Amino acid sequence: MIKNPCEKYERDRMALIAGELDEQARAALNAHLDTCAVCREECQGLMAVGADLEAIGDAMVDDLPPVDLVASVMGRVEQLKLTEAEDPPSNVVPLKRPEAAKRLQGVRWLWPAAGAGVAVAAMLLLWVSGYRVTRLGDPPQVPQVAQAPDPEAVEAPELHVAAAPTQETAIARTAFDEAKSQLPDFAALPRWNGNGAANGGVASVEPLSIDDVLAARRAAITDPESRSQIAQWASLTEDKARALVASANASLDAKVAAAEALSAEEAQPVLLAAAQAVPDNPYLRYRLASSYGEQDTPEASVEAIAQLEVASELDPDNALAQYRLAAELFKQGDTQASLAALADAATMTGVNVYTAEAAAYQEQAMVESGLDPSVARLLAAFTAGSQQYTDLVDLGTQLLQFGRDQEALGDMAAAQQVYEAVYGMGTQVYADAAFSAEQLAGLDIQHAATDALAGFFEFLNMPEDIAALTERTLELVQAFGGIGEIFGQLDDLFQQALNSEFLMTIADVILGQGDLNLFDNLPENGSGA
Amino acid sequence: MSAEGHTDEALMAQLRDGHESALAELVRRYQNDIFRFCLHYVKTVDVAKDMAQQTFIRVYTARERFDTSRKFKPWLLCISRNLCLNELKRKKTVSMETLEEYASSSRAESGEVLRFSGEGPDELMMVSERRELLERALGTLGDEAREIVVLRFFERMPAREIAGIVGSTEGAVRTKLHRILAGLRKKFASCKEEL
Repeated sequence: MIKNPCEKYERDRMALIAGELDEQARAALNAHLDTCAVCREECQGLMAVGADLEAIGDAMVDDLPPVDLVASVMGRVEQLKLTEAEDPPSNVVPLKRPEAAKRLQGVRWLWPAAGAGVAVAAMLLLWVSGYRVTRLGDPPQVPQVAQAPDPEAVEAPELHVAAAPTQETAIARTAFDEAKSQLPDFAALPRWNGNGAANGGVASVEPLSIDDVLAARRAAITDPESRSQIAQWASLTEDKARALVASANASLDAKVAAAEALSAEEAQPVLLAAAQAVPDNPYLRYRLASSYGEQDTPEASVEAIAQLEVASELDPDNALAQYRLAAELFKQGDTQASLAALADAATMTGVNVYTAEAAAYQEQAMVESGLDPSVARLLAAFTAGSQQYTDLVDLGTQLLQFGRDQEALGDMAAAQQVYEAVYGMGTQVYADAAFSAEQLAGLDIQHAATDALAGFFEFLNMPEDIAALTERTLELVQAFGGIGEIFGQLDDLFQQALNSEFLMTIADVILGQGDLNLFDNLPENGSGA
Repeated sequence: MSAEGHTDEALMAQLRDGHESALAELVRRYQNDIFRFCLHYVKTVDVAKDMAQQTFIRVYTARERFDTSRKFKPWLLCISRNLCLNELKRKKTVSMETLEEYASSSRAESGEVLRFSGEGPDELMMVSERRELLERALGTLGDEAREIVVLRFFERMPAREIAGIVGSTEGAVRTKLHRILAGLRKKFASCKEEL
């Protein structure tokens, strides 16, 4: 035991063992050791163990012949360059993650990050459009063996990373791609292809009747422009949103919805005030956290994490805040904490994305912007979940990219954990969905995660895992088919003659219980004119 | 463009700009270090060679991700470590526990005498006997402690670099090192008494 007078040298002793004691401090420590037998014995004993360990380590490698990896590494690089130039087959996707991710963001996930001035409802439709483009333009990929550029430049291809997939892996991948090709054409799903507020928004359409909205909804079945029109009506222009936020007469609810149309910097004071006014509202905390997260600065990220922790405390069974927390922690570089958050999220009851709450705020904002309350309610019902869809997909995309980052750094275990967690997030969202937009988000997140995992397992030559993903994909095929049927049923409903009263009943049911089980919750005698 | 004479970080910048010769130079510089580093984790020479090669391929594929304002070698070691740990998980083997086996199989039976405490003839033992004792004590360490031992004493890394690789802080590594050595010393002593 070191006595108190010697404690001041303990730090130096630890630095010495750590190989980090400078000459001056070392001299001082030596002077102390000359006069203190206890410290001398302790220090010499520890250093001796260290020296023995060094000798053991040296013995391990003393007889090792030098290696020459230059030719083999450069040979693989040449292969990679060739496959990159050929717009790669699927089997090399993991080696090209950054480029692949960029392509994915450019085509598969069409929208930008949730931000200012973008009509929230229109985003959902952009996605569906993007989905279709990818699906139709992306035929099943047959794994191809990468070409060897120069046999003499490549040593025996003994690396599982460097080698082409085994035959088993290639067969498994082909089966996976065949399963993917069975995913349905999404022509039957509603496609919103407008630019929302950018083309006018709610301010430019007054006066508007529920007949106008119903007519647009009917036309939207065959005319995407009409669906775009609905999205625009339900959106606030930036000017209108600013007016609401600045208005002394506007309600807090309306201001919260208006903040959605503004930049993160403009939205934050509004959301902060709302969170302070209603401190136990987890949705407001989550919105505030998302707003901080959009700022993408270390300081804002810290604030986002703090708000997410509060949101999680207020809504402890909801995994949404944990998934967002994981993304923020990844941004901060705290991989371990992020993985822990993902693990926590997986144990939670499910994901509530607060669609009903957001729709209520949006409805209030439309009313306070001058829309007839019935019209506002109908628009809120028709577009409910579109913003949540955007947020969820954006979050899933972020997390998958973090997984790819881990993969690029060689931390395959972390990468796999992230991919699996995102898939889990998709299943939770899907399972808990009350709105079709949420369910679509859940399916699309699962699909994106499955793609990432397929590339990952192919990379590692793990055919059994790819086969398991094929089973998952076939389940997705069924699920996508199911949601397509729901959209078809909804379209059929709106093609019927509907009186205003029943139309408002429909809106009430959607906003209260979601659109997925609309027909189960409608009164039996209510349909018809 | 000649790659020799440039810093590692400058070579990474060149690689990012499309000059693969920079990667060849980095491979030449670090291939043996990385091979040995991998060997500590995966034990077998062939697998270590694989892991070393994969490490440099990862350097290539992640070239645009490297921040040239940071040091290259810790980044390289971090990639290598992660690849090795993943390989071990993939094969469901326990890497660090095999280190002692590897040490036992590879050590020379030369009669070399190791310095222990350097305090007289009673402290001098034949190398095989001394290593056996210490290796037995090493075998009782957890994975994290064993890894720190490898990085500090086998790879001669200072705590600062170890912290960067294992995702910890310099202070935490120093504290752990001290605790590990003290523990090994105690275990060594008890092993010695048992003999």
